[in-house]
Amino acid sequence: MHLIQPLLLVAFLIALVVYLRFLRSSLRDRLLGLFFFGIACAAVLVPDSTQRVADLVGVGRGTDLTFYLFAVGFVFFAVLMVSKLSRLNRSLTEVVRRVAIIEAEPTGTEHPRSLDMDQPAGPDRTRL
Amino acid sequence: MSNAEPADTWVIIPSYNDGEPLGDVLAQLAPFRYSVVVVDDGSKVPVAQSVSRPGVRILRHCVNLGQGAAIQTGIDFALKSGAKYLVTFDADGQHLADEIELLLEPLRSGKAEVALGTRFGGGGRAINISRGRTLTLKLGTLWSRRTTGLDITDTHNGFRALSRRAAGQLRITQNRMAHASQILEEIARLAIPYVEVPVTIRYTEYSIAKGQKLSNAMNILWESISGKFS
Repeated sequence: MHLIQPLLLVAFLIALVVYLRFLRSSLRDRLLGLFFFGIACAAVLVPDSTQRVADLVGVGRGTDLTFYLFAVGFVFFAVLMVSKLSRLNRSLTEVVRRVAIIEAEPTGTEHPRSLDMDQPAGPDRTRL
Repeated sequence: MSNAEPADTWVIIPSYNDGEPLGDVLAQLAPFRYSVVVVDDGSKVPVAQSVSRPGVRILRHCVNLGQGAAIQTGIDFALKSGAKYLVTFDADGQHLADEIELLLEPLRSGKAEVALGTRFGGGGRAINISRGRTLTLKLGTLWSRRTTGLDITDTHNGFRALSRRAAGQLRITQNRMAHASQILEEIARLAIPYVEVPVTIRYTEYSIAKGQKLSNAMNILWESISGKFS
């Protein structure tokens, strides 16, 4: 066994533990994480395996195949992040908007209305 | 304003780091019987209540979100306060308060639900406009005409009036400058009856320095396109 192999395995393991332990996600995502961890470990422990798969799909070297997969994975990840960010941004907008409107309410006692336009004003809602 | 009940016409002024010019705008609006809401979009120095006058409400975004978001907040607030007509008005002094009536007229007479100010169409004026800006806006107008199918002579003109109905229908999700395109797209999508009304846009040293750099047109285009996919 070469020195690089345990180093990589430990790094993968740390990443997996951090993911499973601290980042809450759905069972499906956890299984997916486990799956990729397995593939990564296999590729490290049996270096020839990537070469064999590369030959199978018509890529010259196993290293190249790994690199291509990494590129695809990275693009996928980036798109995912952008979409999450935009969702987060929408939520932030909604929160900031509501705070702005709530803060403006106290002096506007002539219009004590509820926060949600689609809900009727309750007696206790105006004093948020 | 002598009346305790706010007027049913609400002027919405999104503002970000406008100091004195905003005060001038509010002074300009003071003689008219409009309710005014300033949406301070997280300015570094909060819009002080001191610039405020009777009938002027000040809302504050605790973080900067962008002009589109500020306008939508103003719309939400005005609708909740019972607005019948809503006017969007710039904080930098580009628009003339006495032209608000021109925009309201077609709404009051029921001719349209939205009145869009135009600085280029029939009698509209753009004072002190640079050639580069005229060219960019004309190209932008062509683009807006193509993408929305609306018969318009101007685009990204922040001076417009909406009926309560129209304001309740459209929803601005483009937080930054592309909201101006989005409003047009929404008018087209919802088939809201609209008219263009010639108005005066007065470019001042301040508004030019503060306003959109021409180079930003590409950013707006990008926001506008990418916003459709998120």
